[in-house]
Amino acid sequence: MSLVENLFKSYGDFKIDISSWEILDQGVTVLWGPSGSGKTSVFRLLIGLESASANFSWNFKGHDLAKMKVPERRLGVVFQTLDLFPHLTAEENILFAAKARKISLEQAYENIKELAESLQMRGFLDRSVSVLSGGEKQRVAIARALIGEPRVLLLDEPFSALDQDLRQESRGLIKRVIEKKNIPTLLVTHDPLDVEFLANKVTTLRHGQIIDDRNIV
Amino acid sequence: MGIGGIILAHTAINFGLVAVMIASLVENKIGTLAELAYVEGCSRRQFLCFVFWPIMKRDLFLLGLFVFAVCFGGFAIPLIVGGGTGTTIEVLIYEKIRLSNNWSEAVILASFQSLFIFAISMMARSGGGYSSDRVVNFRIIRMFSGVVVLTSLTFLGVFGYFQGLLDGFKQISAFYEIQSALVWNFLGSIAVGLSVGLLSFLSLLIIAFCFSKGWFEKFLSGYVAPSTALCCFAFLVFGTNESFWPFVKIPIAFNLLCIGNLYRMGWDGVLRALDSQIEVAKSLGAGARLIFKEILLPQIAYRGGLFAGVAAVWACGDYSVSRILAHRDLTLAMTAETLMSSYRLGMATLLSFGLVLCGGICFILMRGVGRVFSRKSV
Repeated sequence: MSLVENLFKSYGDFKIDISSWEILDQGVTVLWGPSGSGKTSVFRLLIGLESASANFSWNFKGHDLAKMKVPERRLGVVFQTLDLFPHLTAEENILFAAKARKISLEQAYENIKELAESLQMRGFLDRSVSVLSGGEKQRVAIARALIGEPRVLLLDEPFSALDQDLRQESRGLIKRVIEKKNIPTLLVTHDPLDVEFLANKVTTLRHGQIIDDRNIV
Repeated sequence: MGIGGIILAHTAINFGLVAVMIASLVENKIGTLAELAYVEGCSRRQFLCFVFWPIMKRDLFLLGLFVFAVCFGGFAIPLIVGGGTGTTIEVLIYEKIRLSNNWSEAVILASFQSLFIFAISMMARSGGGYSSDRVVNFRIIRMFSGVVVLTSLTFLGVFGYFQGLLDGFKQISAFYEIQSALVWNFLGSIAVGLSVGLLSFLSLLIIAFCFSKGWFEKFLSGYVAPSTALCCFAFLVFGTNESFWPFVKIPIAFNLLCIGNLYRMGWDGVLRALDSQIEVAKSLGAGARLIFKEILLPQIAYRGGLFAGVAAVWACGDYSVSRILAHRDLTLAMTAETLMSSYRLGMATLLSFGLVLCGGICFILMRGVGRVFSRKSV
């Protein structure tokens, strides 16, 4: 387990108030809740894109990630909007993350080959991301997050832009990759089907507070 | 012509720029709402009162502030059409230094001027409103009477210009006396324009590199260009002014004076549009250099070239900076000003073709520089 403690942040009339929260260090922890419950705020606070209270800590295998700078936390991130770099090809997008993590070029290409296989990306690696379909873009974003061999993979509503059929296919794809790579994953979603298909643990958030936290057997 | 002439000249010069900026603001911020309002049968008056004004008032205030800052610190126009003495603070600063050699009073005036603009900048809050990526078809909303208004206003300017040109053609033989100087000054204008363009391009890239640091953005928002006269005289007393030195000092001084305007004219928007990509790159662990080289540079270099091109055109047509820093006419703009001072307005108008050509060449070259950088960095 990794332990998040004292995650507080006030946004005027709305606040995130989590005194203690356990995230699985194997499998998928789902942060679930309706729109406006504060899921994305928690997501951004964990990544370090927003600053939380001074005594916030995130203990992961003996390291306090909260005290580290954003790049040092070594997190793999997929945002709801995917945010691929539009001027680069799919492969260049993934390579960028490898460079950011200072992975050697040789190793990076090796990893891309493996990821292309498991995420079925071979057919469009050399295409500009601006011409890719929603499903293809999503796979590139996941590969980009995984290539840096992150401590934790964080996914913010990664299926929300896809149609129903593609969502189910993507869930299967992501589940296989996560299991194969054995990367602890935090999935932020409001879709009950994501919970049903992927979750090993579900944390329910409402009005910025955890109201339910349970493991799925 | 006094204050009235200055206001008229500033209005005529800035009218086009303001029109383009408002059009771009409308398209980017409320374009989709305009389209929707048209479909819903909303009249133009209703749209202006209930959509345009409430959403855009902050942006219009900022635009007004930008034009105010440009005109308030403007030096060239008051100098030539102002008449009398001390028409504006900028001219007063110029006179304090040039005529009375009174640097202390000039510095106090310049500080007052900068503080005044800085205080107004602080009052302005950044614009709000909506924005959308949906493509908007503006052709169906266009109004014919708008074209008539624009054409009429343009005609007023163009009419005076053509009258000057006719006069100029009548005196064309007088150009033979100064043809050698004209060739050199044409090259001088190109040299000044290109150096200003390249320096501005470099400055814009430096701004982009430092932009993600919060303190730097705050500094830029509050950055007020120093007084033109004071800045130029400071460069004048610093080192020698012979040989090629004016060609070094003029671009540096001009760059210092115009970089704040370039930033507010839209460079801040170009950088802010990439905020989410910078955020993603940071969360992936990328450092500032990698983000700049692989994410920012390929996407901003071309636009940077265009902005630098605008600065180059600006520099080609400006004589106020070079008039202080150079001991003789080095550029076509200075020659034109000399001709205007001796009331040879027709010849000066005819010479403006040369200025347009210089500006065009510099703009195209700077656009090329931007394109090369954006391609090389991919």
